[in-house]
Amino acid sequence: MVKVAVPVLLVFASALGACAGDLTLGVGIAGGAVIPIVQDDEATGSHATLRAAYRPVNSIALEASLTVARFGDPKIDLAGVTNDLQGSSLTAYGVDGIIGGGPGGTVRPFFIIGIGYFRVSRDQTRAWDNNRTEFGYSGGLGLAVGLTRALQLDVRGRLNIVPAEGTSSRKSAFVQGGLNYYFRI
Amino acid sequence: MRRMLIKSRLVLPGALVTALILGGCLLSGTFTVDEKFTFEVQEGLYFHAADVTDESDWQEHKDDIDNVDMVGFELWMTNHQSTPASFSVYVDDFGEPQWTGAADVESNAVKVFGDLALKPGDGVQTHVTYGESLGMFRNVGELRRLAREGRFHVYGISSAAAGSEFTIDSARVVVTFTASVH
Repeated sequence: MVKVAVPVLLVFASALGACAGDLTLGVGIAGGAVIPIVQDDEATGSHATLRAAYRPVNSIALEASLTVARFGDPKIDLAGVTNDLQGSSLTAYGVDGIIGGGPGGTVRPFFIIGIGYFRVSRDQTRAWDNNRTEFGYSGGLGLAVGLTRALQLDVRGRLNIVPAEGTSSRKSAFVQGGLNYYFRI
Repeated sequence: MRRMLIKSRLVLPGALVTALILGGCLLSGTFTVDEKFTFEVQEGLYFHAADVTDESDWQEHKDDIDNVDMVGFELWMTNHQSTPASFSVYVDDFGEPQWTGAADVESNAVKVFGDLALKPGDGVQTHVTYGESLGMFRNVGELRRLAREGRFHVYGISSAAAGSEFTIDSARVVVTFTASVH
């Protein structure tokens, strides 16, 4: 079934793309790992992302995204302490500016600079959480591979930085692979 | 010409990513330290002067701590009575007097962990894991403030008499904090 469906979808997407003029609007799905950076209380988990991109020109895009992530349960390496701390849930949404990586049949690198809101929660630590959605920013890079004119595979790494109290911040990275489909508006 | 164009396109995003990484914000982290308790029994209550300031992570980051994210306990207790008993934890400043009576503790210290039911019976331990304890706290603002100092007084009070009817077999405090890294 999959062997038949994938070529059919690719042909269909290719046909749609061929009918289009400038491919200015894209939608995509992605998933992968969420990796805490210098955080003893989280471990690597997984995430899923929905995104929509607008490309006024082929090499530049504004991309809105919504990501739902779950950090893994951390290993508390303390003798005599039960390892039962759960990883947090993370909801992130925001807008990225993307330079490069336009649709097409080649391999294209791209860069990401974005802003967004991040909400981290953990049932176990509800009393300790600030229960706020916090502003943060992100940056990263990736590679886009055009499967057809309209259908694109991409892999990207994105660093998220959410300023905390003082000069500290909570940081994580999304390492993700995704599929984007572009069409004309 | 084309190569120069590509290079110029890379300069701005490259610089921005570099700025994100080097802007100082990356140089911080969340750390966990712990201390094993040996409670001191006195006049019906348990006392411990918690002090994690000797821990290497604390020593390394003590001047750059921006937030105490959470404080948890790992507790093993035994209620030797044949009836259930309750257990509560109070905290107070390290510099405050060491209260010696339950009434003094209740009126001068802050209750942060309350009314845990202890199963009755010799050899029947009540175990509160670190993860479980995190959800049992109240007045976390006060506990955060005290933990930020790295040391504070901890009192354990039970409806059963400490030492004979009720024992704390093992206890640890775990402090998670966020600090800048230089």
